[in-house]
Amino acid sequence: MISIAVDSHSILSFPGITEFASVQEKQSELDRFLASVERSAFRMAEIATRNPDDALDIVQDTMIKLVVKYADKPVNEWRPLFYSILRSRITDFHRKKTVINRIFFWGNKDGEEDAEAVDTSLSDPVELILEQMTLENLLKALQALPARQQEAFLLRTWQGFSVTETSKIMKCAEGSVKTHLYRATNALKKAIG
Amino acid sequence: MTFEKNDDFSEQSRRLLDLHSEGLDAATLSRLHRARNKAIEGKSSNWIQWGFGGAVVASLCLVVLVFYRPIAPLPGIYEDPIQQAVAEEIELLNDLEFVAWLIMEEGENGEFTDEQSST
Repeated sequence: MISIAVDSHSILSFPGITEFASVQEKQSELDRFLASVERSAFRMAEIATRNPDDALDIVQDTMIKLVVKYADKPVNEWRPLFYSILRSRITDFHRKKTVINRIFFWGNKDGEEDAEAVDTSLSDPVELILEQMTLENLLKALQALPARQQEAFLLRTWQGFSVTETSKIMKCAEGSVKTHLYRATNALKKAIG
Repeated sequence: MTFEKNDDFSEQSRRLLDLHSEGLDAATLSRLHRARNKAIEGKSSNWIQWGFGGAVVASLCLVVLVFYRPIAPLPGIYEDPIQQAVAEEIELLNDLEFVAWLIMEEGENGEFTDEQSST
């Protein structure tokens, strides 16, 4: 096959018009899919990294990997695959950050302090939680969660993946997903309430 | 907390996070748009690379098939020197026989008569 790119949405292909149409259709589908998930993916990465530039890099890497490696997969598999790649990229980011923090040994104190803050800020009356729940304190509480709890909550509660799908994305047992989600929800309620 | 309130909490969390995603500023949206285009263009260029790579390889194969002429080995260069020497001696022996035969023939035809007569 010989293809010449004209712009991001059109390709001149030889020898077949059919092939040209299918490539163009695939690109349109990919574009539509990525447009549908890019905002939430960016916000998830931003919550995890606390840095919009890092979040954008992670989302871009995720998009590229999905397009390069999994574009040929059925369209209905793209979404879990996309979030699985996103989660891996976020995990890689945290690993790199941990290594850098160990090298420059002033360390990873922020996350630990925040996590402790969540655990120690305890139980106001349950009925007040929803009233006091604002975006700002939800985000703050989410950022303070341990990574696995954060992933479980965002994938299961926000993105609406089933427990099975979430366990595949997180590469862990379904029971672990339930545990992470339970702990995340409790921690968030305590932090917000 | 009851399951109902748990659902309310999840629902409210979802709603707030959705609002948060929808409220991205124009600069971030533009960067996301560029990232998306880059990812898709990457795929295009991948296809192009494979396409052109395949075309180049096919062209090279065609050129080789059209212009390939088997080169005959240079005579004697890679032969064993002993074999070569033996062959030369056999040739020389053949030549000696030929020379002897030639002399005999010339003698029989009387070409040495002048020489014989002068003596």
